[in-house]
Order: sequence, then C-alpha cells, then structure tokens
Amino acid sequence: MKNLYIKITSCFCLILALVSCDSQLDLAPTDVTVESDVFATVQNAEQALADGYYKLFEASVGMTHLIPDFSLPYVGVPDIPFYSDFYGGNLIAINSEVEDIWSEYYEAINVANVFIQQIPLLGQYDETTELQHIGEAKFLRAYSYWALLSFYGDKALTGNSEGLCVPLQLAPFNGAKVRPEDIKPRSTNDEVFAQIITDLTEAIEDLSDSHGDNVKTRVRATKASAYALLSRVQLYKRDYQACVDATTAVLGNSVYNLELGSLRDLFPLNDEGATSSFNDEVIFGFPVSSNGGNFQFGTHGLFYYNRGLYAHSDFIEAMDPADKRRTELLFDGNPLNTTTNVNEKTTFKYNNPDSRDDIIVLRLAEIILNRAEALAQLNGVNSESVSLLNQIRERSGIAPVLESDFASKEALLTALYDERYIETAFEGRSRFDFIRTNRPLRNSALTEDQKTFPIPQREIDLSGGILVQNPGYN
Amino acid sequence: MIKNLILSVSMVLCCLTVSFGQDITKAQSIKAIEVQGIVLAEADNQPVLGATILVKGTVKGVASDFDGQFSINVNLGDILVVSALGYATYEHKVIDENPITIALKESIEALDLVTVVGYGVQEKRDLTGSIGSIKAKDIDKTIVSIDNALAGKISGVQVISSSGVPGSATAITIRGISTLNADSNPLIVIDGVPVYGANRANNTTGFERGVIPGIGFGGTNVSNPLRNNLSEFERNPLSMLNLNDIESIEVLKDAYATAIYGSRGATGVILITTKKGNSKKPRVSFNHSTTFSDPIDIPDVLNAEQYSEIYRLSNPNYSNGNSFPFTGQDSNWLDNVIRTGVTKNFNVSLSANTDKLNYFFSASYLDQEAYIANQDFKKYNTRLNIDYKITDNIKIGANATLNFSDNASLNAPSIYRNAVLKAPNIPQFDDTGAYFFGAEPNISGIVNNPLAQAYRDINNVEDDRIIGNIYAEVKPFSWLTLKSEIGIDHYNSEAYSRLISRPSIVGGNATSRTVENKKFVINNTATIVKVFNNVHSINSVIGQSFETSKEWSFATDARDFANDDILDINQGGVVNVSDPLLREWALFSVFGRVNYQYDHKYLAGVTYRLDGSSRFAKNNRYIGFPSFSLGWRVSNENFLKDASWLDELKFRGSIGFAGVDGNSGVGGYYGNQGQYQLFRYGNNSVAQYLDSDILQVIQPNNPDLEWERTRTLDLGMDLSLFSGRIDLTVDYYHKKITNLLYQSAVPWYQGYALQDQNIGDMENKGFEITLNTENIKTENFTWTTNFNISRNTNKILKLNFDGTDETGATFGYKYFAEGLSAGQFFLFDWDGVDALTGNPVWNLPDGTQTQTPPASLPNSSQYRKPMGDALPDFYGGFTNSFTYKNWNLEAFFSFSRGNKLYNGTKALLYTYTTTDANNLSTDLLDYWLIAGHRTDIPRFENASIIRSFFGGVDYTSGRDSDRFLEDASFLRMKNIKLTYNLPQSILDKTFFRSCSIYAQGSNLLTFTNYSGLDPEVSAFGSSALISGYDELTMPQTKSYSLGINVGF
Repeated sequence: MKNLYIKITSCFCLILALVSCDSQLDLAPTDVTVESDVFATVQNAEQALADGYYKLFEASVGMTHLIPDFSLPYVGVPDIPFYSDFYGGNLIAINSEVEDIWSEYYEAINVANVFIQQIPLLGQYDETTELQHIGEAKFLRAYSYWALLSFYGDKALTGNSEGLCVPLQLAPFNGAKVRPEDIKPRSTNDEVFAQIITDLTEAIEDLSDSHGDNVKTRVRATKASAYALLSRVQLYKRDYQACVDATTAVLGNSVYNLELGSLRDLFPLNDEGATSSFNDEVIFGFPVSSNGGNFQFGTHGLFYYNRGLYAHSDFIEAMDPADKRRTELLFDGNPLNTTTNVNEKTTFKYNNPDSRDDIIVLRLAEIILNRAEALAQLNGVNSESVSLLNQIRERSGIAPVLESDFASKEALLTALYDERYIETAFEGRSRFDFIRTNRPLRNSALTEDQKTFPIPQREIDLSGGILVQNPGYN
Repeated sequence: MIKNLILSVSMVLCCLTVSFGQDITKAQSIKAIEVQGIVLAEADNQPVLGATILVKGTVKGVASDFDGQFSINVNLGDILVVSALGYATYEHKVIDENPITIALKESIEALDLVTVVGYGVQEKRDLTGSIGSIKAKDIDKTIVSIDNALAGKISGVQVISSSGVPGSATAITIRGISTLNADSNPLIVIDGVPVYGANRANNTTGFERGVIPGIGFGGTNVSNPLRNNLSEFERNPLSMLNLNDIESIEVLKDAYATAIYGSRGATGVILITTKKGNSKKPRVSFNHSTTFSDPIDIPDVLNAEQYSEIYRLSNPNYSNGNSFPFTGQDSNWLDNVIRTGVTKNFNVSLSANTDKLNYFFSASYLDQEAYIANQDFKKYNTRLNIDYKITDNIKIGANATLNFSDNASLNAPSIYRNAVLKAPNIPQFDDTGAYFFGAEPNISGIVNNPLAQAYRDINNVEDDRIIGNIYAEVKPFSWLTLKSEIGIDHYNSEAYSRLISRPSIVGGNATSRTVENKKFVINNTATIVKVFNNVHSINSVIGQSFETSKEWSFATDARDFANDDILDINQGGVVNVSDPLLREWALFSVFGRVNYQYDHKYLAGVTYRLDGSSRFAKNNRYIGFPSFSLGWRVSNENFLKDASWLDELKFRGSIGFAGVDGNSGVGGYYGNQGQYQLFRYGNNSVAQYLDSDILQVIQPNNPDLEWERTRTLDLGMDLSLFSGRIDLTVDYYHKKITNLLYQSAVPWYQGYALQDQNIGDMENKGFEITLNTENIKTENFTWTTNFNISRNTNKILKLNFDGTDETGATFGYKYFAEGLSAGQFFLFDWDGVDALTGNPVWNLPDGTQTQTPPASLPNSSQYRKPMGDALPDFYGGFTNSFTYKNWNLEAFFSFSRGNKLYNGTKALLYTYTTTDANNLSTDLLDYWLIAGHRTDIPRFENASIIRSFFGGVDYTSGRDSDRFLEDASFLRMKNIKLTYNLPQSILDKTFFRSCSIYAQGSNLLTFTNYSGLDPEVSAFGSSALISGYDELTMPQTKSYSLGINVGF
C-alpha cells in the first residue's frame, strides 16, 4: 500500500513537471524593450517614432544637405575630390556618400515601415493616436523616398517616368532576405512617385493639424506638412494642377505666415546652448538645438559656420544690395577662424558654433513659390503667380514686379526659378531644382546620366545583379 | 565514493539479473542441493546488491538481491564465482554449509569500470560514446583550480591558462572551437547541477584605472598595445571550488555523450562528481601543502643609464639636452614588487557509509600569495554530501558546498605591467618618503607608481558561492528508479577597488561592483534497466529538466575623496551608478537515452534531447538533438575467447547533433522580437527629438534565425592487452557546425547593413590517442606511463556574404576567412632590417619588398597574409610514474605543437615612440648603428616610424605585422613529485590509516623556441577565439611544494 502511494506520487510529480513550462520561457531581456511593448503604450510608441524623425534628420543633414547646394557655384567649396566628385562627373558607385545617403534614408524608411505594419497588429493605445502615428510614419517614408528619388532615380526629375528609381521597400525588416527570389528590383520613377503621393494622401487623412505645442507642431508631421511636401513632390513630378491643389491647403492655414520682419527671426541667431524655436513660416523642421548632444554629438554637419564651405562672392554680388537675404542672411562666420577663407562670407542660416542649428525642411516661402511656379506652368503669365512672387520679393526688401514685366511664360518661370534660387540657397535642394528645370549645374558639361547618382555597388553585388546600375556608371 | 554510483547502477542491474537468474535456475539440470547465501562487503558488512554468482565452468548463475541474498542449485564441490562491480572476484567452493556468507573485497581497479555519463552511470565496457575520465588519485591537489588540473591529462581537451595571477581564467576547448559567437567553453555539471562556467562577460571585473592618454610624440595608433591599461580582470569561476572534494571528472566529447545535454553540448560537457562516504567506520583524512612560487621568468629591461641613453638616441627632436636624463637614480621596479609567493593549503574531510546513512564532509582553506607583493588569493570551502536510505527503495540526499573566496590579486597584472614598463630613472619615493607619482626627470612617462599600487591601492573581489542539490530517489519496481532533484548555483561577487590620490587622479577614486548569478535547476529522471532472456539488456533513462538563471550586476564608482583612508564609496565627492544589468534565461528540456546491448557484445544506443530556450522566440524555440551509436566488443566473440592476452577490443562509432545556446551569459539573447533601447550619444547622454527620448531599435525582428547545429561523427577503438598492461584508446572525429550564426550583409534597402544570419559552416577534424601502459611490474617496482595526444584542425567553411571578416584584424585581433582556421593571424609580412639603411623591410604578397610600411598604404589589408594559427596542431601530455616499495616518483609533461603566440610583450618593450616612454628590452641595445650592421633592431629613426606634427604612427611595433609572431610550441614538465607512503607495518602501530609525504616541483622545466617568458599565457582569459596573445601577461609560476596526506 505504502509503495503504491509512492509510485503514484512519483508518477504524478513527474507528470506535473513535464507539463508545459513554455510560458516560463517567455523571458524577455530586461535591459531592452521588445517590440510588442513598444506598441503597447502611447509613450513608448512616441519615443520610437522620435527615432524615425531622428533617423530622417540624420539622413537629411551633412553631405545629403550640402551636395545639392555645392552642386551649384554659389557655394564656395574646397577643390578636392571629396566635394568635386559630386559636381565634376567623377562619381563612382562605391563613393561613401552615395552609400550613406542611400542607407540612411532606408534606415528611416524601415522605422516608418515598422510603424505602418506593426501598429495595426500590436498597437494597444488610443486608435486616433495610432492612426496619427501611422500618418506620421507615412510622411517620414514619403519624404525619404522623395530624397532617394531625387538623388538616384534615373532622370526622375526630368520626366523620365519609366526610368528606374529605387526599390520600394514597404515592409519592415523581418529577417534577412538575401535569396535571389527575395530581392526587390528597382521600381520605376512613376511607381515611386505614385507611392509617395499615396503615402502623403493617406497621411493627410490621419494626421492632425497640430501637436498642441507650437514647436512640436513644426517638428512633427501635420496635415499641413504633408500637403506642403505633396506640393513639392507634385511639382517635381510635373503634375502642376495637383501641386496647386496641395498648396491651397497650406496657404489657407493661418498657423503658417510669411515672416515680414527681419529674416533673422526666421533664421535666428543660435548661440551656444540655444533651444529650438521655429518661426511661423516654418512648416516642418528638425529641432536640432533641443535634441541634446554637444559640439560632437547630434550636430547637423553643415560646415558653413567655420567657412569650410561659404557663400561665393559672385553669388552675393549678383543679389540686390537691398535684399535682406544679402544684408541679413550672410555674415562672417566663426570669428575665431583666422586662417581659412578669411575674406569670405558665409550663410547665416547655420550660425551655431556647435553645428546645432535647427534645420528647416519645409517653409511657407517654398510653398508660395511652388504654387506660383505651378500656376505659371498651367496658365502662363498670370496675376496670382506674380503676386505670389512679389510676396517673397517684398518681404525681402526688394522691388515688386508687374505682370507686364513678363513677356512670356518662360520669362515668368525664369524669374520664379531665380527667386527660388536665392530664397532657398543653402537649404539643400538647389541641385534638384536646377536639374528639374533643365538649368546647368556647377559643371555645365555634366550629361543627364551624370546628374543622377549611381546605385551603391554593394546593393548591386548583394542582389546578384537584380538591381541594375544607372546608365553611365557601368 | 564511486561505489555508491556503482551501487545505484548495480541495484538496477541486479534486479534484472535476479529475474533472469530465476529463469536460468528453472532451466538447470538436476542439482543436488539448493544453497542459500548472502554477499557482503568485507569493509562494512553491508549487503552487496547485484553480485553475480556463477557456477564455475558454466554460464549458469544468479544474482544477489537487495539484501545481498541469493539461492542457487549446485553440486557439492562446485566452485561459485562471485563478482560484483567495485569488488574483487571471489571464488567459493561449495561444501556442506548452508547458508553461506561471502565477503567481497573492494577493488580499486574495479571502480574504474564505471563511468559517469549525463544523467546516469554506465559500465565502461558498455560505453559507446567518447568520454575522457580522470579520477581523484590522478588529480594534482596542489593546483588551485579544477580546469588547470585537467590540462594535458585528457585527450581532446585543451586548457589554455591565461596567466600566473591567482584565480585567473582559463579557456577550455574540447575538440576545437565550436562557435564564433560565444566562447567555446564547455558546459560544466557538478553532481547534476549545470554551473556557471567560464564566461568573459560574466566573470570580468572591471575597474577603471587612471588612464594615461596615449598621445605620443611619435604617437602610435597602430602600435598601441591591445591591453594598454589592464583595468579588468577575468576571474575563473572554477578556482573557488575545492579540488579535494572531487571523486572523478568526466569529459563528454562526442555527440553520443553530449547530445543528452542538447543545446549546450556542442562545446563538450565536463561532469564533476564529488566524493561520498565509502567505509562503514568514519574516516578522517587531512592534507596540507605549502608551495613556494616564483615567476617562471621575468623580462630583461634596461637599467637607468641604458634607458636614458636609448631614449636620448631615439629622440633626436630633443636636441637641447636629454629629456630622459640619468641622474644617478636607478629604480628596479620589478625587483621591488616581485616576491616568492607562499601558498598554504589545508584540507580535512570526514566520511562514512553506514547502513542507512552515507556522508562526506570536508573543509578546506587556501591562502595563495601571488608573486607580486601584497597580492593574494584566499578561499574557504566546505562541503557536505549526505544521503539517507529511508527504506530499501527510498533514498533522499543532498550535496552542497559553501565557498568563499577573497581575491586580492586583481591588481597584480597592472602592478606587474607598470613595474616592467616604468622608466628606471624615476625615483620610487619623493623627498618626504611618500610614493612618488610622476615621470620626472623625464619629459613624459608612466606616472603610476607600481609600489603604491601594490601597497596602497586596494583591489579585491570577494565571491561567495553555493552549489548544491537535494534529491529523492524511489525504486517502485526493481527495474525502475525515479529520481527528482533540485539544484542551485548561487554565485555572488563583490569587487572593490580603491586608488589613492595621485597627480593623475587627485582625490583618488573607488569602484564597487556587485554581481549576483543565481541558477536553479530541476531534474526528474526515470532510469530503466532491464535484461531479457539473459542476453538482451536495456539501460535507459528518460527525464526532464528545467533550468533558470538570473544574472544581475551593478556598479558604483566615486572620486574626489577627502583623504586616502576613506573607503566608503558614498563618501566620495562624485558618486555614479553604472551598468546595472539584469538578464534572465530559462531552458526547458526533455531527454531520453536507450542503450541496448546483446550479451556485452553488440552495443547500440540512441539519445534524444528536446530543448526549449527563452533565448529564442516562439518560432524556433524548440529543437531536438538526436544521436546514435553502435559498438562491437570483438574480444567477446567466440573466436577470440581463447586469446588470453586480449582483455578488450571494442570498436564504437557514433553520430549525433548538439547545439550552442547562444552565450551562456550576458549578450546571449537572440530572440526574434525587435528590441529597443534608448539612443545615447557617444558621451552617454540620452539623445532626444525635441523633448522626447528616442527609443531606438538595436535588434530588429529576425525570426528566421535558427540554432547553431553541430554534427559530430566519432569512430573509436578501445584496446586492452595483457591483463590491462596496455590500454589504448583511439578516436577519430569530424565535427561539423552548420547554421553558424554570424553577422552578414543584407541589402541596405532592407534597413540594415549587417544582421545575424545562419550562413556559416565550420568544421573540426581530429584524432585522439590515449595510451596507458604498465611498463614494468615486479613485486617492488612498477613503472607506468600515461600518454595522450590530440590533433584538431579547425576550418571555417562558410562565413558570410563576403567570405571573410577582417574587422578584428584592423584592431590587431584575429580575422575570419573561409578556408582558414578560426584562430588565424592575418598580418603584414615583416622581413627584417635592411643592413644598409637600417630601415625595416616588408614583404608584399606579390613577392616584392618595400621599405614603406604596407599598413600606411591605402587599402592596406590587401597586403596582409594569413600567418599562422593560435591553435595548436597537436597537444597532449604524458605522465611517468615509478613506484619502488613505498616510494613513488611521478613526472607529468604537457606539450603543444604548431601554435603561434603573438609576443606583444616584446612589441611593447620594443616601443620607444610613445609618451609612455616605457622601459625597453635589453635587445634594443643591439640597434642598427652603421651601414652593413646586421641586426633585428632597426635604426631608431626609421622609415616605418612616420612622425608628423600631430603625432604619427610607429609601424615597427604594431600588432598588425608578424614581427613578433612566434611559434609557441612547447614541452613542459608541469609537475614532478616524489611521494613516500608510510609502510603498513609502521601505520599499524599508530592510529593512522594512511600517511604520505611528498615534495613536488611545478613548471620547473620548459623546452620552447618562444622568446617570451612563458608560452602558456593568453591575454584574453577564457576566450579561445582570441587566444594567442602575450601582452605583458604575467607568466605562470615556477613552484616547489611540500605536502602531507594523513588518514585515520
């Protein structure tokens, strides 16, 4: 009898122990947050979304920002291959910036993709906020693809709709996909444009108008910033009516107003230790000053303050002496630099000694010019375009122009191009504006092929040739 | 003792034999009488279970039951042959006597016939796996740590000692490097409890020292030593256990032996079994040894005058007078910190095996002085192993050990290093008699004062560790044993470091680091042993195991103390908390093993283990590891029955799988859920986007990751001749690792540059030979030899997309490339010194030579070449033992051949271009003087030292050239020992049961071409992957011991 008990007990014990311990194995490391927890609370999700914005910031500054500017002669730049490769026609597919711009935007895209895919699966917070986060992620993705298209799309900016652009990666990383059947080929320019427009259109649905706080509203995506970006993308796509439509929503928004006073209110003096502040004209920007960091970490990597890069005197001389953009937005830069480019002036747009100025990505002046340009393309010389142009001229302190000053659509467009050139100089887009309007870059001998970046060689190698190189780089 | 293990096996075995015995009895032809009897152990009059009682000349027999009783039908005059595991065979002639009592004598040799295997024991003759074994009597008890005691003793086991620092780590590699992800250290199981073994991350005590900035007047980034400031110390988690408690160590090598440990078996398993009581009367034994240790050798460095002259010559920049003047002061720093370390070791144990109760109790104390002044290691161990038989078939027991160690020699490597490197023309004390910190009279140099470090700085780590298990064993049926056990390993350590105020650290600093490791394991097993029809026998176990581990650590540091006597961290001016870390993991397993044998002739086995690990997320969480084996004992075949010279000839083979469960400690989590952490800038401040902290992905979802899988094929042969005079074991193995987890390229457009992928494959091939011979055996004299040799060839078959990873090489570490060994050095080819110009000459891979250092050329890695392997071609050891009457002389040699060692010590002592202005090797006195001078030392200002305004690079002493890569093959007499055992005749007159005294010398003799101090060092502790660096690593000790063992 006693033995029987023992037998029963031991068998029971054994069975008990064998009963699934699976739940005991669901241990997560304690020093990290796992993805399901990231989307469990709105606080965590916001912090993870901040990573998306931060990655977009990292991808967009530094050489990504500088190259489109110094592709034109208004930027004084040391004549060394590091810079000249980008305007001299010597670019190769293993250039580290060609690689970095590509990989950094795709890192931002991956964060966006995680949000877009995982929130519906894992999200456990308020649905409106969830949708808004998805909208913000789509904005981040759209912006990244716009930049990639502008750099890498084969003649994407000159209407080559069937030209090859970049692979459209719309799902988050979920294990390495390196087998040939997993490799995504390059989509066409049209397909990428379409994806950007879809993302922005959907984002507009879900985004709110404001994030409460004035600064926050300007550093995170809103309906207005999505419309603003959409207007830029449509202009690049040459869908002028769509561009005009997109600008309407922005121009009618009372939150955004042209700065009519000093332009140094728009581009303020950023002393060391300044925190972010954005003028009413700013639609979207990166709050670099408030991001933490110091002279070493968290900087924008634009070398203007120390006059490593500077404003070329020809550019300055060509401007009206009364132009506030000449009188207010140029200065001597770092007074402690007494050795390099001593006699040159530099842009006041990046005046922080620690390279931690806030970066303006979208601002009203651009949208006004977008609308003016699109209307001119649609309607030729027209009063609204001229009046929009004058808004920019007058606030810069130069004489307005009249509709009658322009003999042709082309004349008006040229004036608009020139205005945009001066207005947005040093803001990291001139290369694209010049390419899309068929005007020569710094090196006028560049072929159309050379105006497009090569696809990083590593991507082509890893794809086993499924990704093909842009013409002229093989 | 092992006897108990044997008992448990034989208990099971016998029950079967009982049943088959009865069958046989029925089949017996007419026998005159039925004899009843009892088999007892002579030593304690305990019944012997499962003894086989055969009628001589027949194959008929029975077995004794639980009470040792048997009955058998015999004729008068028949001879009964009684044999049992662990006892000498006894013959009894049947006379008219009933019942009979048979008393069996213990046999030491017989004990060797049983081997501990995973979750059980097995008779050695039935083994089909490859298991190396070492018994208590063969373990050198003067060694502090178990792993060191294994070095050279077991084939296939390579033990790389790291240094001569007490309690420092070793790298144990069983049959080659098995993973590129974690250290290849084996799983260690003590009495069924898997314990925390070697693991760099888990056992390294970091303490930030006053770092001397390495900016040079010829500053060197390439030649910067790998371990510029040894501000960490990797402890050996096994050093705190007591070697005297160990009964046997089994090393599971092939897949059949290790597969039962599944996901942790790929790197091999070491099973440690501790002692039990083995005599009815309580036995006490006492050992003591005293050891005197010196470093094997110390470096030859310059005296102050030479130092001053060399630095004057090598720094023509300082033309206005010598910036390194000789002022008459000559400090021999090394002499002042080196001493003869004295180690005292006391051990006492008490044990007995009574009717119901078996116990083993021990206590030990070790005080080991390092050969660096004021640095020592103390440990205190106690153990109690106990089991109690409640009834004949219920037993409960516990094995527990409490250990405490205080290692105050963490500073030793740093003191040693500074004492070697510190300029000899710097005074030791200032005018007031206080320790002098600073480099004066030199323009720059090491400001630390090694004497102050030794005598004033405090630096120790206190560990306490409890390892134990409690079990209950029930035998509901004769063929079934159920066992449940709960085990723990609690391993806590507190490290404390206090540096006194000095110019580089005004106010001094202190660091305290607490680590708590807690492991908990439950094992439930059912052991089934059954014999059918006399010849078919099954010995199997099924079971389940659940193991959890929690690793927690925490550090605080403080600086700016009011005075040097304040120790409390809270009293520092600035107090920081750093690196709090908590990791948990769990492993749930089900396993089974079936061994079948036919008449001890044909053997076959299957094992299977299913592991589920918390480190993997649900998709790939569970994985099974099967293995299969076959054996054929040819010697039991009828056609060899008559070959009396042949004791045993067995062929065996196995194939099976095992795995690597990540790293057993920190960083071992590769779950497939995306993981996020706050993004911090390089200065550790949290990055924000406006006002929001940034939660950044640090590891994306990677759900396709699979377990690394190791498939091992083993073919072996065991041969024993002439009544055990010759014992030979040969094994060949091929171990192929697939699904090797390694970072490989993914297209950037997927969001990442590199991710872990299961692309890689690696293999280890090799053979092992163990040969034990009894060369001479006469009544008074015996000479025995034990010899083992192993060869392992490692090759990376596939690695990543690129097929090579040179990342490590750029820092001077190893690199991995397909087709080469994982221990490969990848270096620039230094040719020598051009006698005409005094410039270094380099060989380029295309066969040309250049005086431009290739490392300075763009895309320089194309000029590197694989230059040899840190892992040996062959290694092993041999012991010769001579016994004459009561005297025994034993000499143990270990050897290693074909391994390369980077002599970073030499590189450092050849570097005169940094602001450290360290002392130099006397070799430099033969520097190149004039054209035509043939020497290995280039002109001081030569073409490979490129100075610029901002510093420069010294390419002559970089770890990226083969200038200092040397062959470190060695043959070393690890141990020679002379023992005198007091003769029985004298003992009989005393109350001593046994008494022996011995004198021993360790590391007295080394044959090597290695020009450094000691070929047996490794700067990176337990990592075999980055072994092969001597970076001013403290050499091993050369020591003399005297000891006494007494039993009563």
